[in-house]
Amino acid sequence: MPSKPDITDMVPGVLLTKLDWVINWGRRNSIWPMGFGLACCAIEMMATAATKFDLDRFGAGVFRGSPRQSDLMIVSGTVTHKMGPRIRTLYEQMPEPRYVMAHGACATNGGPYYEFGYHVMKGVDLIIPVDLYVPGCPPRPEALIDGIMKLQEMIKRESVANRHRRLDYWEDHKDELLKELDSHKNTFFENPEEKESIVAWEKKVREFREKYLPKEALATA
Amino acid sequence: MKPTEINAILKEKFPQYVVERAAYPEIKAAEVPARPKALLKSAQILREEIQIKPEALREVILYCKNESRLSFDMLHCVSGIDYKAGEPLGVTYTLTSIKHKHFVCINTRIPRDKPNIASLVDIYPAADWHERETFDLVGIIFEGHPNLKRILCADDWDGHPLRKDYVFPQFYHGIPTAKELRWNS
Repeated sequence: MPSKPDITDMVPGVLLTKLDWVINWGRRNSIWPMGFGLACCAIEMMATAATKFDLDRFGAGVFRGSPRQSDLMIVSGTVTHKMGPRIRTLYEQMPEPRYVMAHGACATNGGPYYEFGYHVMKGVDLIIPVDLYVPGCPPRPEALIDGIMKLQEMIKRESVANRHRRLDYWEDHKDELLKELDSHKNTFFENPEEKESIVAWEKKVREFREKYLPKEALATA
Repeated sequence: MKPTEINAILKEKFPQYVVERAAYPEIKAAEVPARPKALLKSAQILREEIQIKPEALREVILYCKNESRLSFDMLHCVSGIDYKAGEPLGVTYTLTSIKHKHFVCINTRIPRDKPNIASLVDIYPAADWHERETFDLVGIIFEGHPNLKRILCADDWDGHPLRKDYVFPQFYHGIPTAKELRWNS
């Protein structure tokens, strides 16, 4: 008896491509964020949703009060160890497709609490998979809008058959993204020794994340 | 009423309970770079505190509340202080009188190995959350508190974080606190 065909093995045909296009068009133009904030980054998120910056231009201004109605979780602020399990619960209550954005330095890696914050989780990606990191402390509304637009780019590359095709964005733009990252490093650290120490530190971070992160997070982040 | 006058009243009433302590050095205006004068003044007033023995705390506080010259009707703040590892812990109460527009700082020192002190919840209900926070972060046990449990940290947190001898946790519920990732380490 032949085994059941796996949809991910199918070559995406014309029909599937068109279907992808329609579905992604709908998804990326109606990203409904969850209406919750943890710290000062949430104030910037509110400003982004308000009239001056008007997140509704991107279809992402409909802040929902329930995780069951939302597509995007903007983790805006400091994630404490006490708050961590609640965030995990909220994430699990969201229906697929769901996206997570780490908004600001604290949600990315602990930010100013990195070394001495005994109560702060060093990055929300330790408990849930994160799609997108928005830097800043707190990020300007423009940065959040840029993050939403990057997320739309990622959704554009998804497929019904395999959601993780959006990783192609990284593959396609790898050289220019790495180049951009390197240029930032050169502006911050003129001394080559400092740069070497940063590179060594980044290597340590990578090893650490591979050791501790769940595989699901590595696949999507 | 000035803080020195309030302290004089308390010393007169409770001579056996007030602990004599060395005066703080005066702040010299020339040493404080470009700060507003109002700030300097308030800092000096705050330093006028009185130290009492811990067993007399409730008696002194009740006197402060009921005496008509003082009539401290508001408990402003309860602070737990760990001055130095190995030394006694401190608890400071700031009382304010809305009627007379004055305030006083009452300081006590309690031993580190037995950090127990009487609770003030039945005198000032505002002490409830202040004492819970002081218990949570500094580990001072308020005897007679109706609900003395942690208020900021999680219920199963280990230790009291603002103690000088606090040990930074490596893991919390299996989640690394990432101390290994320090720069230059």
